[in-house]
Amino acid sequence: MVRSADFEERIEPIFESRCIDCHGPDKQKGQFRVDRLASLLVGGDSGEAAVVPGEPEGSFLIKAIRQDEPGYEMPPKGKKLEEAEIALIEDWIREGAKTPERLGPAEEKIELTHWSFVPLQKSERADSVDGFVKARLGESGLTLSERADRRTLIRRLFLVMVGIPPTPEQVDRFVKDESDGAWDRLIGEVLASPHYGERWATHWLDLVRFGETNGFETNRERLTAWPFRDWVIDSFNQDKPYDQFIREQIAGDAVGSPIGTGFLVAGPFDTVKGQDPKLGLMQRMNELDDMINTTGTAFLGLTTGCARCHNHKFDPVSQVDYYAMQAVFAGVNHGEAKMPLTKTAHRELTRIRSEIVDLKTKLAPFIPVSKGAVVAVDDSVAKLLEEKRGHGVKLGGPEPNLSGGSYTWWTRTEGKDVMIYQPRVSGRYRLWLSWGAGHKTHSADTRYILRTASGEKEIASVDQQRLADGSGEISGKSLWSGLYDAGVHELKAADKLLVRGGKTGTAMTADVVFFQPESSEGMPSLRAAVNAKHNIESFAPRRAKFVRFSIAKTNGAQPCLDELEIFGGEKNVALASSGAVASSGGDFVHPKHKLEHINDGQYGNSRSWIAKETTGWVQIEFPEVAEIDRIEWARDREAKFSDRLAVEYRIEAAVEPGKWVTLASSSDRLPFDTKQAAPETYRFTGEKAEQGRQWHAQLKQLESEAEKIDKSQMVYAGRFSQPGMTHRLYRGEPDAKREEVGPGAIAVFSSLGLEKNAPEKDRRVALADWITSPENPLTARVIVNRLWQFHFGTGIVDTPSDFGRNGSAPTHPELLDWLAMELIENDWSLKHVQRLILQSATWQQSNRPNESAMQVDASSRLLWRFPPRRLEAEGIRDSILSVTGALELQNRGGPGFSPFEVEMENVRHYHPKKNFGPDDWRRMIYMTKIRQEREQVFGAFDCPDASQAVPKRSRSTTPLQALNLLNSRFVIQQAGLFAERLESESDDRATQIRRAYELCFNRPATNVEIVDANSFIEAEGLTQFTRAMLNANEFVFIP
Amino acid sequence: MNPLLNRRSFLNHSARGLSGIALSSLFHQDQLLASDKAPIRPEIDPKHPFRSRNAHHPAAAKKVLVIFCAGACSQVDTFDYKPELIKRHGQAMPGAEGLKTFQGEQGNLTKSPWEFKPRGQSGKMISELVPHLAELADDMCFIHSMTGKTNTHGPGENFMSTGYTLDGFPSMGAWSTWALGSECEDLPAYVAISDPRGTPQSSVNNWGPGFLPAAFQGTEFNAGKSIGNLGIPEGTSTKTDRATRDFLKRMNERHLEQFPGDSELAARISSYELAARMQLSVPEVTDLSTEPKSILKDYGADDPNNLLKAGFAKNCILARRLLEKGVRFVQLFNGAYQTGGEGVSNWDGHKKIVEQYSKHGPVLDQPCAALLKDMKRRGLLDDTLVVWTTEFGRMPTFQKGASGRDHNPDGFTTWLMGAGVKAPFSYGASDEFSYKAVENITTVYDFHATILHLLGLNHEQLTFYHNGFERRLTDVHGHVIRDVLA
Repeated sequence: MVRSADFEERIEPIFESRCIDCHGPDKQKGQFRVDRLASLLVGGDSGEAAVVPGEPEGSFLIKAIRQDEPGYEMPPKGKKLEEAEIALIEDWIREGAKTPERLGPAEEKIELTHWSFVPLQKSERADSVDGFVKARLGESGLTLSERADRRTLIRRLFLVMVGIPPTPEQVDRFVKDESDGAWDRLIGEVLASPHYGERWATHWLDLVRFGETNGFETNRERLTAWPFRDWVIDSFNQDKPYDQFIREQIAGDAVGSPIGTGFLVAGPFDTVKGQDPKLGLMQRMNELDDMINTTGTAFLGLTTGCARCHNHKFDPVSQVDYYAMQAVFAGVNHGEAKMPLTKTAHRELTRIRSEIVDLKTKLAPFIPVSKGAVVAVDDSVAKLLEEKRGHGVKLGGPEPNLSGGSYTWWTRTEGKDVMIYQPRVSGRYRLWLSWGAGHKTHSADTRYILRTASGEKEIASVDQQRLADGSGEISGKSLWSGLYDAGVHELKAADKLLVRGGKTGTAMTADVVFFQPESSEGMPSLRAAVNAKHNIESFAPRRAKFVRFSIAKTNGAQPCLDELEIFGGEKNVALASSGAVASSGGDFVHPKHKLEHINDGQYGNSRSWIAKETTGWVQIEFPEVAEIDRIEWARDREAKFSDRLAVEYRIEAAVEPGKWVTLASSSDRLPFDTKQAAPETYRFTGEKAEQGRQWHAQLKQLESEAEKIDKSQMVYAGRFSQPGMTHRLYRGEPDAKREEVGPGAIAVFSSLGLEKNAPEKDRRVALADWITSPENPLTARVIVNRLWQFHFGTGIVDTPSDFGRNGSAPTHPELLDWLAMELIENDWSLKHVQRLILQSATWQQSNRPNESAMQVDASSRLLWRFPPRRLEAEGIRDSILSVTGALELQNRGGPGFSPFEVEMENVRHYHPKKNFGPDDWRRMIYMTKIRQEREQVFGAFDCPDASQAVPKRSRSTTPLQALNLLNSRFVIQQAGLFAERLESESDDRATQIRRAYELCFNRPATNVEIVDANSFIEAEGLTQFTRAMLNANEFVFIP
Repeated sequence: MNPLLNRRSFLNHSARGLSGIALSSLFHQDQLLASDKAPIRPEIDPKHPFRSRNAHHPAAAKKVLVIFCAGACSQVDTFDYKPELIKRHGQAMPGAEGLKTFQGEQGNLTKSPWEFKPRGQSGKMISELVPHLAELADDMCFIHSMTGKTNTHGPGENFMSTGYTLDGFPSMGAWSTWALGSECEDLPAYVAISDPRGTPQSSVNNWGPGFLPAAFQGTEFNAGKSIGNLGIPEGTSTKTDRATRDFLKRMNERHLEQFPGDSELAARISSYELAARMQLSVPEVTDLSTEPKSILKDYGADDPNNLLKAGFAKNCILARRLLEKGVRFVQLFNGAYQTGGEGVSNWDGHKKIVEQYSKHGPVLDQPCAALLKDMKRRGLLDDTLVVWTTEFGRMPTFQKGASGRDHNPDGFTTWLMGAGVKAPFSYGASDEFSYKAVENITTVYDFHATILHLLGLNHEQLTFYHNGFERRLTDVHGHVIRDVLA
């Protein structure tokens, strides 16, 4: 038996000669010391116990001195310990690791002395914002500046609190209001404005890394994330108590506010999951890390992320604490959740749905029957012989417009063929030609040549400036010609139609051509193009035992069908549940995509079938011969996916195997084109046409209402399930599992008192309770500091998300605590604290520099003046729209508008929009937040991309910002609107200039300014003047 | 830093001992300050954010060219020659039973379809996929033991470009230009030249500023695509544009009189002047019409039969022109995001590697080799570090049931060339099949530490405080690979 005396005689000398310099009273490298028993038992930064009495194999100390642990080879310098020395230490551990009393007890309580970890302190020194600020200024021999003038005050107030400048009328009213309490009333107005929440929500959304795409390589859209944005805006506007605001974000599902948990899953989400199991684990750890970190930094101002791999080097956050918090969130997954419908909404939806069923029954006779006869070849699919110059788009011209949305054009060269149409049909067909018209550059004699085995024959020479019937204006607006009858011709499968240059014009064009069997009557009228969400094939009732759907081409990759429905009357006879059997030419293997999903009665991508190759077929065999009259199919009826769509297909039926008859195909549909408008499924002809159109209009209306109500139910607010056990991971490696860890918080502050297997929701509720407890020393301090920061530009603590030992100390610690206590005592009202700030002389003082004060405190941290600063991206954009009169201020809430056109590749790509209208002129908070991509004009103004939580934006000045504000189409258009506004309000130049100054700078123009502007406008025009105004320093600075 | 705090007042305040308040955000880390790893903050003049700044130590390289082959370019088929793989072609890889990589199970070991041949005086074995690049074997410094942390493209590109697999961290170019500014103030300090087919999979995150000031974001353009909003608006004459900027300047200067010494306001005024200079210098540098025909021919920019190659070749010429002007950091991408199926538009050869690489090889090879030879001829390699890389490597096996290789971050090849680099040289090695790095295992952190070192920067001291951390390009890892230094 080794007694403790042996430690002193045999172990301690080794420690003293080899370890104690770095791990003793003077230094505690890695937060570890060998002269305290508690430290020996707990271990250092690695999170591993250094000494496990009785178990040398489990003792990290032994691994370190055996130098078996990369990065922890001890001692790091000098030679390794002798084998005999190591053996002695092992013996000592094996036999209980006894130490004498002077090494202290086995457990030592960590004393929390850091300023932010101790309870709020009440100060006797002052009892107001100004009191504390003046006291601190006094210590440095400084004083507050005089009060700013009223114009500056109201401008500052509006820009900071609402994010747009006041109108000249608002300024005028305030400047003239000499009654008592004018300022207080203005504060009240601003805090009551619905636009206050729109401004302050921006700050919160930055902090919680809110984005509306998933980020990472595919960066797919997150279409139902926006309700969380509106929820944050509403929370600010309602002055929701801050403790409740927190509770709803961590556990809103438990307190009747389920949108709030959008916070947990607001961050990036890697959706590319590989087969490699370790990769999957690491991705999951990263998701949870994002939730833990954001919770720690946003609410507590504590960085916890480093404790994932080792104990925190500065703050009392151990690795165990980290995994305890991981256990709190372990049941949270990214995804949408269905929000409960309100009772009214539910009733409404039921009513609408029953009306929809009625209307659909009435409309059924109007679904066009597929003839499989007319063949269309669009210019977008025909073969080019010459390099095209471009496309005409947004085509006007006769209706229905069958152009597919665009025509192709070339430089004309006489005799040169530019395009070949090969319909691969055989028999006598009427040819219907069409082209792009409307431009005087177009050739007046473009030839159409039929090339057959017996040679070439010109079948038409057409004037492409005009429409097919020779009418039409040549106004420079692109038109679709309508159909030109080129007569009936005998065709073989190998025959081709060529478009050949004539003698006139500089350009020539081509668009869709139809080949109509001679037997059919009238002009060809095509069915709607296929779409990803829903397609109907109607045909005369027919008996069948087999139905086969063959796909010849998709809009990309192997074809996918989410469900194939085959109806006889109202009954879907294709369902597996009624005995139908599916087979195919080959399946793509994936858990979400299986053959059995084709007829399982369930919609959506996750229950779909994908063919093995890019072409393929799927077949349904009925248990017995059935009469069928309609087939419905889609790529994804949930409308999330639009790739893999069958664009060329054939549907056949057979009573006996092999004896196929075509039921329907893509040949008489309009060419597939993602740009075309919503397809018409119905065609209205005959005496009841008018009635049908009315029903159809009603149906559309009802469907959109139902969709709106239904969609409002889904919100990206996370999905919750009971998790398995959480383990501490050595070095944060998913395959280095250590002991089980139950849900908890940071142990030195509090235990959540939860069992290891506590129910999922209870875990989050307990964490929220701890964070929002008035006893928590961090929560209130952190939020009042954030408020202060957004009022003055810099916080009392200038590391707003790090109140730990690594962060900065507060400039005004007593003021910070006083504000925190004010918050808690006033039911956590943020507006109360903001009112205290706005009412202070500190907030209202002048912004002018003062040389002697600059000498002492150049950065104005002590607040001897109000420090001016540049507006953020949102403030600049909203201000521009506001002064030009374009701002859609009342268009609040709901789905956002995107600054991008989305290229629907697997990996999404976002191309900046080029044209803007009122939909784009809402406040920027409603701009869909695309991760990684910064908006083309205002993104350069340090606008975060939501990849990381941002507590404080940087404020840089770059030449790209200058280029964007000077030259972008967005700003130039606004400058034009601004000029129009000024001209519409007055004919007098000087009045226009004065008005512009009042609008942009909230002050009258000086004589010098008017003279300068006047002569500038004379020379360069009013729009150049407005362009300059929107670029001015004074315009983009908070005064 | 506060805009009012210029260099002089900074020193004044330090001397007065009151900087504890003003500078707390800079100097909050007493512990770090006391050590030899104290952060070194660049002194950025807000009026001249891109002005050249001092390095931490004498620099071997002034500029960097990163050639990034997006999609994970196979080391097995280019630079990592393995006779044993040829010998055991068609056999199962030992220890690979049940091994699941990104797309799943493995087939047999498969030698490269391209023959390897000895090159240059060094006799380095390089494959026939890149015969022109192979001619430069004696100038290359290979790292054959590179390892990554992820086998997914987006995070892989992030890791190689920013040191983190997650989005939102500053790119290597952003760190470099934040620290060093540029040798040319009239052009963006940091340019990302995207492939003619489009941006890479992680897109702008490859050249993002992360939490560094937006000024240090890479500016993306290429020979066929200009900087957005660079041109003056349609319908505005140059004269009018000039007059408007003068009028704006008068307005701003009158405003500045009320705030004497405010450098943020002054910086905004000078940013408009810098923008005007860029409007002249960017079109000039992107105008390849002054390049002699022989140059176009060398690069393959005139190849009528391979427009893609010609497009990439033009980007290569642009890269050289930017470096000649003194742009600090140029990223040249070869390969774009996935379009038309995997491996069609980049190096992601999972299933049909012969068909796909036969297209990608020629696009990269001649233009890139011509660029390097041209740089060498003009002396640009004397002060420019060239880095060739990709996000991770590929397997020496073919995927089960396919004719291509799956992702492999456990051992792949990158190479360096030019200023400060030992060549010909090969550092580290993968195992006998080129599956895992086994000798001198190198991490991306080491790679980054080495690149910064060559630029005169200490990777442990180049830090930026964000959200509670002193962030680095190399996180808390990384060692300079001394063996590759000249």
